[in-house]
Amino acid sequence: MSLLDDEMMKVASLLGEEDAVRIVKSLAKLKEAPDDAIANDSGVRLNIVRKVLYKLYDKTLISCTRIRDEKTGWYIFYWKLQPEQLDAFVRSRKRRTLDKLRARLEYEKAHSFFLCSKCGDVRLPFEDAIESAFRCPKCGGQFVESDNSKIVTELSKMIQKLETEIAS
Amino acid sequence: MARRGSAEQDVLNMIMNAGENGVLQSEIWKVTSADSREGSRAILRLEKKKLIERRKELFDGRWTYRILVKRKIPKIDTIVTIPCAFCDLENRCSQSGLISPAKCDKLTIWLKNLAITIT
Repeated sequence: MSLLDDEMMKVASLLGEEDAVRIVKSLAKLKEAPDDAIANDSGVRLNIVRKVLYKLYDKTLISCTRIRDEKTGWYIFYWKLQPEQLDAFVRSRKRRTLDKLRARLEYEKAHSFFLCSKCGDVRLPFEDAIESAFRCPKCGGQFVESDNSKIVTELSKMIQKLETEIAS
Repeated sequence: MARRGSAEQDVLNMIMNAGENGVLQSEIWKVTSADSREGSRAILRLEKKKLIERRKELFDGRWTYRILVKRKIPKIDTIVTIPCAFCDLENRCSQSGLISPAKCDKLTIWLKNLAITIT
């Protein structure tokens, strides 16, 4: 199994968990195969195989070729991995994630936050905390000001890291 | 079933696994299922797609090409832990929407944990 296939497996695990990993493993082994052959090889139920294949096809990580069976006249779909598309997929995911993180960083920088001193779960910006009279809507505990400088620092570091990776 | 793309995929896999030093074109046929005719065409296609680079090199008194991969193997590790990367609600998430990166609970929990882990 190549390094590219390993990376593909990681992506599959994030997209479709254990079943997707087994399906990608089978595809890497079989190279090009119809869904029933993949189901037989991976041991995953045929309906799940199809669901995962469509999901991966939607992300362009696999491709399919339609061939007409001369005996039955039915179409058979042959599926195959597209490792050359993985780079584009990963880059686009990184770019989208970067946009979200940038938006969050802007929000974190522009607001001061308050955290419930009792449950510690509820964290609200000043505008929302004042509306609830600095009382936690979940447990009724008192809100105390929460320093978000660490969050801002870590977020900035992560953004920088992603920017470097995308640029390389 | 051998199809046009399979030689291309085999060759690309081999070159990517060879690392930064690349691999000699004449060596590729010994390892992959592709013969030299099929493989040469696959290499030209990959070069056209700008996935590889060919450099002329003299090896054992014969001119051949060293094939180098242009892009490194993409690593997903950096974004694996970030909830936004593979979020199911991604299509509905926008700055002005009901679900936004500013007020996302999943992102808040991740950020809190990140800040705690660092300290």
